[in-house]
Amino acid sequence: MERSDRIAFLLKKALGLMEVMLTRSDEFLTTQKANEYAGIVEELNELGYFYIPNQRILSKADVPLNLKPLKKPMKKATGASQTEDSNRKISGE
Amino acid sequence: MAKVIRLSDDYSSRLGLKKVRRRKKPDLEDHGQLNMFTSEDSKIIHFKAPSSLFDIALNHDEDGKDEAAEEYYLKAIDKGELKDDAYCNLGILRTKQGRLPESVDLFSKALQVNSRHLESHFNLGNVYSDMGNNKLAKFHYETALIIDPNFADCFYNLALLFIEEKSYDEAIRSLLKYQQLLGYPEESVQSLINDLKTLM
Repeated sequence: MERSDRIAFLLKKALGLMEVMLTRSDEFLTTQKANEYAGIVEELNELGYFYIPNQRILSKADVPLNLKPLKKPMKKATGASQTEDSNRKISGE
Repeated sequence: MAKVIRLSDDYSSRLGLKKVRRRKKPDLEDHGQLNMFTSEDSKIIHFKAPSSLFDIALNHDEDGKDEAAEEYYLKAIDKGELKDDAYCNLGILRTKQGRLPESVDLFSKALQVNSRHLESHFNLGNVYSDMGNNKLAKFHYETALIIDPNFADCFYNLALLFIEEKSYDEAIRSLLKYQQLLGYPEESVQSLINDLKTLM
């Protein structure tokens, strides 16, 4: 595992702990804390490290989280459009 | 004194000539070895050299040679060869370059050639979502799902749009469908579903 991957792995673990703490009680889950959490997750995903955030914490944040980096990437056409019928499929991803 | 031994004169018991018989081939699997090369069903497979401009373009594309790929996709379009696929893949190259309006144009051209071009609908969904136009993104994801109702990744991306809109019920439904189509549970997706359930 590369150094940056190891750091990302540790950060993900830390985020997991943060989630446990914040969701334990509404007293801990403030908007400010939720915003901080959302910021870390967003940056992690922008750096290319896939992390699905805790939705309960996000619902408390007043900054909407950009989920776009989590999207499944575009699909290349492989030249099947003329060899198969128009109902060709990309099933079983 | 030496003893003289008399040999038998009964020749009937002599061992006769041996016919050559076809020997049974040893079964390698009896000796704990996989029988990989002796099957009569084995066939020689000839790998096809790229036979079309589109194939050449795609090979360059897969090798990360974007400029060469672009050149051959354009040649394929000029020759009228797999135009829909070529436009679509050019659209992906433009997206990589951050030229989103051009990529929308190219995916649309693919759809002009073939209005049921699955990858172009999906990719347009991604581009519109990147541009923040969730309505159009959803339209194209949903169209892709009409063409291929088992397109797992499309359900996943649609779910992300639903989450952004806080339509958690629909997001869960899409994610469950995604899991079902995958055929195995993805841990991160399962925990996302559980999170979403707590919000309802």
